[in-house]
Amino acid sequence: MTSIRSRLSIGLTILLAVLLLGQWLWLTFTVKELVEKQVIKHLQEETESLLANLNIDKTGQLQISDAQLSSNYQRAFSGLYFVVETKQKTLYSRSLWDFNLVSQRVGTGVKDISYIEGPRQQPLLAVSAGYFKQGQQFTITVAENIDWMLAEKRLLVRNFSLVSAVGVLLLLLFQAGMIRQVLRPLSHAQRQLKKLAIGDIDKVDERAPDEIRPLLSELNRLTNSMIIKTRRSRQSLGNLAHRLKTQLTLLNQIADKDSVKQDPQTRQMIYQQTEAIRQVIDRELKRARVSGFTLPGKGVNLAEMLEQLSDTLNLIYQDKRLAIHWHVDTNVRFNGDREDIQELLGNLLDNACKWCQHQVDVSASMEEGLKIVIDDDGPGCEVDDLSRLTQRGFRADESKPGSGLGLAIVFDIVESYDGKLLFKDSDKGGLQVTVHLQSSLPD
Amino acid sequence: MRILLVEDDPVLGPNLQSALNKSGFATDLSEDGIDGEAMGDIEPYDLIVLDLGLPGQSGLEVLKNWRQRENATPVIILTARDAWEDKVLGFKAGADDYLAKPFQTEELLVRINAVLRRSSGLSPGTLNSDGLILDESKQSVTLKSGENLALTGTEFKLLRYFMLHRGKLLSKTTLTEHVYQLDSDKDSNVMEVYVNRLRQKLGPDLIHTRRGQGYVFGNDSA
Repeated sequence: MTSIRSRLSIGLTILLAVLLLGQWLWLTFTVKELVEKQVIKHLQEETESLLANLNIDKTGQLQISDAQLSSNYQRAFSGLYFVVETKQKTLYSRSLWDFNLVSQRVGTGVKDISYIEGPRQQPLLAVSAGYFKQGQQFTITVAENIDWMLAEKRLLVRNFSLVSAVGVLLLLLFQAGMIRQVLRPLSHAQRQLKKLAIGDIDKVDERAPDEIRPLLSELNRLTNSMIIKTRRSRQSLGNLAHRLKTQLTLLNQIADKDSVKQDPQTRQMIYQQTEAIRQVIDRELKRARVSGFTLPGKGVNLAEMLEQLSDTLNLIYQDKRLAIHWHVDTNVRFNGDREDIQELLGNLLDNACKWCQHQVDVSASMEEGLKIVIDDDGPGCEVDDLSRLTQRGFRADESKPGSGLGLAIVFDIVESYDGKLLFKDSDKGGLQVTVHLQSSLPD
Repeated sequence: MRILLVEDDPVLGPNLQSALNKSGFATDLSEDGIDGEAMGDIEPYDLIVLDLGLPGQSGLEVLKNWRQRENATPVIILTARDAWEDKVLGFKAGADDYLAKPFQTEELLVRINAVLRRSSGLSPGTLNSDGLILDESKQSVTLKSGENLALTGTEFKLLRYFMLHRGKLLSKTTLTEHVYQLDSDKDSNVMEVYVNRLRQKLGPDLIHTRRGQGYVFGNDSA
């Protein structure tokens, strides 16, 4: 669980749940307590008014004058009952009818509260109080049906639970919305980073809350300094090559001097050495230039690049009347360095154009990354050489005029993009070269 | 053939200039992009050899400016940067050929000759016409009879220009402009002398005089 959003969501949800549960428990308890207190107070008053209307005659008979008492004591199973007990006698209210209410005897001045079952399974709350009157000690118990109270409580709990559930739902929704709102700058930054990776933008938007702005600024600074460094090193490499190669041209011209011309062997040696140095320079400089996915790549327009390359090759091989056909699938995307892919395609196409009779076909498609296939109708390659081409050791053979260096650079580029290079006989009679490249940085 | 060489290296430039002169190309040298651009526009060059790494203004800019003003003189680019990016940009800017440094002078001469042939609408290879075969490296000509004659520098330049512009009316001024380089003494009357010398070597029927206009080269153009 590394997402800030889910951390916040889960934390807040747990807090909310605990809070609501506590509230629910407290509320149900309080309500019960409150109602019960009311009932008990009422029942206690009843015992007192019963006491006031109680008479004990000389024979010890108990008598209640009903006139001032609730009529509910008269109606059978009304829900309000009393029991008066002395040592010898027990008097039941008429409302109890034939039910024998079990009551507790308590001492004088003692009060007892109990839940008992009354007639017809009525749940009763009973208050028993002990009194002493006219020389007799007795207990008065008044019980009331609290069915209504329990029903009321159940209703209350149900309603409260319902309201709570709706409340929780609303709160969770609100919370999710709020988290999204709060994290919006992060999502924005995330989208920006994705765009940066595929090269839609070259710097991320730094408008963000104080917490993440330094991060974005630093990222921009690093990207920018990387771009500048790469550009600068490419430039100085280019300048170095320019100087060295101009000097090498001068060496070649010394070989053209009449005094040297008379010694063809020396002349040839000079040419060979300048050529060898040139190859070293080209190989190393081009290898140093290969950048791979180190920079946020601009999406490379392969169709446009192939068009330009085939225009160029048509001019270079003017006398050959080339027919270069190329096809790029519409979904093809490559986010590496533009110069890398141009160097790769340029060298492979140049090889194809060099060996072909007239026809060179190029196709680019997306198959586990970028796949480029180049066919030519030239003489192709001996089976032996074909297998050697794919061997990495074949790179050592750079002294071969023409193809060696270009292919070595192609290998370097393919390697830096974690790619594959395959050679086989083409249907057109010549060589088929297949290049597989990662088309963008792995996520 | 007049060639403009734009190359800033203080040693390579003059060296190349003299090598080209020796090969029968009246060559002017310019050492920076701004002068070079102006010269390319003013003088009637047959070909320009342009280095891309120039002070003042890059070779690519110079080339673009020429092409924008519809200066269609063939251009061969010299450069140390032979990444495909540079090749593509060079050809896109309007170059006719591309030679990476370091090169051998002979290689450059081969390219120059090929581009000149192409711009004259001729097929590549040895220059031959009307039974004459011109050997550009030895600066000699082989006649129909099989006889091989050595040519002086100016004779060679003149004959090559004629052969590359077969059937076209060429004034004395045009010939002078394309045979001599910028700083040489240009007297168009000298052309008559050289034309006559060529007639003596090649026979009288190949170069026809159009009175008051100039000369036309070729057997069937009388």
